[in-house]
Amino acid sequence: MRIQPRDLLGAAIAGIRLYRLRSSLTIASFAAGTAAAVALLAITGGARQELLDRIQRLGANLVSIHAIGEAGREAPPALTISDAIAIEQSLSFARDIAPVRVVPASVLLPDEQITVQVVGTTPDYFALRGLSFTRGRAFSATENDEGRAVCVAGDGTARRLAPEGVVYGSLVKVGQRWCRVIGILAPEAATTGEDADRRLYVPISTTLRRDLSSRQALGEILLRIADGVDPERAAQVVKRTLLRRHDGIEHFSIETAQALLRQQRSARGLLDALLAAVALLALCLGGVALGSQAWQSVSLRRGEIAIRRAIGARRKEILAQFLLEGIMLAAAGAALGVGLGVAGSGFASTLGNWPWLLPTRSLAATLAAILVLGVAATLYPAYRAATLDPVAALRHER
Amino acid sequence: MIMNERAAPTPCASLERIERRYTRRDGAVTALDAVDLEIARGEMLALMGPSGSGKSTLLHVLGLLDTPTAGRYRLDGEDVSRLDDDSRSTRRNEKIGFVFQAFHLVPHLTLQENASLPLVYRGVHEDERRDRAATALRKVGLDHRLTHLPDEVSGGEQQRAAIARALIHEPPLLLADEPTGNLDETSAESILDLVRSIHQGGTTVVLVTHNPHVAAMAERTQEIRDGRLL
Ligand SMILES: Nc1ncnc2c1ncn2[C@@H]1O[C@H](COP(=O)(O)OP(=O)(O)OP(=O)(O)O)[C@@H](O)[C@H]1O
Ligand SMILES: [Mg+2]
Repeated sequence: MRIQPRDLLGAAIAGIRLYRLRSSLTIASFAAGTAAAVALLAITGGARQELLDRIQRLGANLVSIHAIGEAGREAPPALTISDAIAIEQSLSFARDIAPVRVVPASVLLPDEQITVQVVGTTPDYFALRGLSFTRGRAFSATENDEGRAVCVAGDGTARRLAPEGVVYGSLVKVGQRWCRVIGILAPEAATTGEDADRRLYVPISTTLRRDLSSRQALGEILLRIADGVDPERAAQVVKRTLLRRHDGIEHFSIETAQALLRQQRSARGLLDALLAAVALLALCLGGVALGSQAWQSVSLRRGEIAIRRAIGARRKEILAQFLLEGIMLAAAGAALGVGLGVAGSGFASTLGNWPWLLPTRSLAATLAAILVLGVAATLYPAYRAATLDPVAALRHER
Repeated sequence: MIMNERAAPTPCASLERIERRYTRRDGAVTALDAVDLEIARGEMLALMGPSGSGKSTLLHVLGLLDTPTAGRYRLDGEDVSRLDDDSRSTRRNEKIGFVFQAFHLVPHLTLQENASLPLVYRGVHEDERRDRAATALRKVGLDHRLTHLPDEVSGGEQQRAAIARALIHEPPLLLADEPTGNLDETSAESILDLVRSIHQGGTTVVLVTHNPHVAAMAERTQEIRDGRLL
């Protein structure tokens, strides 16, 4: 082609400006479709990122069993220490296990009192949750078994207890007992959500001290299974074991990384489907609008095309001019749509407190697809323009 | 060499047994029938004939806009009978200037942009195009109408802009199809003056006309009837 890209662009822009209203409608359709697609990408992208974070925290071979609902005064507890012991002893794939009991309690320094979540658990917990220490250590198995008066403070808890001083090594009153702080956890990344930071960890036997019944309620059991065992199958076995022990009543939920992945697909499914439908519909509409606009534009501009051909425009130069008009309309709509989609979904996710993440690769793929749609919608009209018989068109245009 | 060229200078255009036939379901129309025509360099030829006789078709064939169904066409010494579409487009851009009865300016481009359009398809930069178009429009007396749209000027002015467009790239051959057909007498007169001065400047001109007075200003008049030259 001998026409300069700049002039091609100029010709295309002049063509678009010939039919402002139609061009605006076409751009609007593309903008709406792109905005919906971008919002969809950002919301699913955010959900996916959140999920990956959770899986990372959980670990691929971690199974977590949650008690559902508060156990009533009369009702048997949903999860108990003896459940944990049963899982550990009867299931061959159980490696590490950490029963978790969370009770809110007031924690007292000689001159400071705060209320924190007190977590009763076993030493394995810290490893299972991937928690590390800035000072000190976890309580030992012996300390746990004997219910010694020791505790580990989350970073946030340590700060709250002693905003200036150092809480490590001092005695704090947890509930009715004075415990020595033997470890401080490293601060957790803000994104991990669960506030390990704002907790105080004590040996689980400490929290069970006044009533040694093994039927005391647990909030959660963390279980690491042997490498090479399918977490899904392990979860099934755990579920059967627990159901047998609880007369078939399912007061618990079992999470594995894979289960989370599966849930992901149904989570926010309605919104996703709606956005996908809007995106698809608007883009189809945009494609049809663009195609018909291009077709009409070519029919109305047969004279112009014939003149350009008569003075030496090659077929591919005419083709390029009309394709570029279509691509530019689609691109203008897409650009507008990205802006609207980012702003809209960003606003909605702030309101609804959803995670928001726009994956650049999917965005690039979507934009490429939209441009391809622009080309596809304009291809036939542009081809007709390029192969128009200038003699016939000039005869017609008198 | 020199002797040879003197003996037989290559004509600007030469047609041999050119045929343009339209095949239709209800039979064929022969718009041009075995046309032999030689147009010398610098010549001005008037083409006359009744309506439907094939004048425009012949002009379109000469201008590489239409392809003959048979025969041989040499333009500027080159056999262009069997060129592909791209090459024909390039030759049109380099060798031909068209002026039509209906002016055929692009309605949404200014006269200056219209006049410079052939240069667009040569990749000439916009600044140079603007200068050259202004010069060409000044030559046809339109230097005060550069930024006007075709709709905003008279028919005569539109035709002058079309002439500026046809000449901006200084083609060797100017083809004018009833250039005064849509104009009043005064405008027609000024257009014909313009064509005459272009011819005097050395450009080969083929002029289609119904008007014997117009034909009289040409060096040679060629009659055509039913697609055949007389
Ligand atoms: N597409 C076509 N299909 C069939 N016949 C055609 C077609 N185009 C032109 N013709 C015929 O070719 C013949 C020559 O047409 P042309 O336009 O060259 O005549 P003309 O001498 O320029 O006439 P006018 O003076 O009216 O402009 C006419 O008989 C016309 O009907
Ligand atoms: Mg004619």
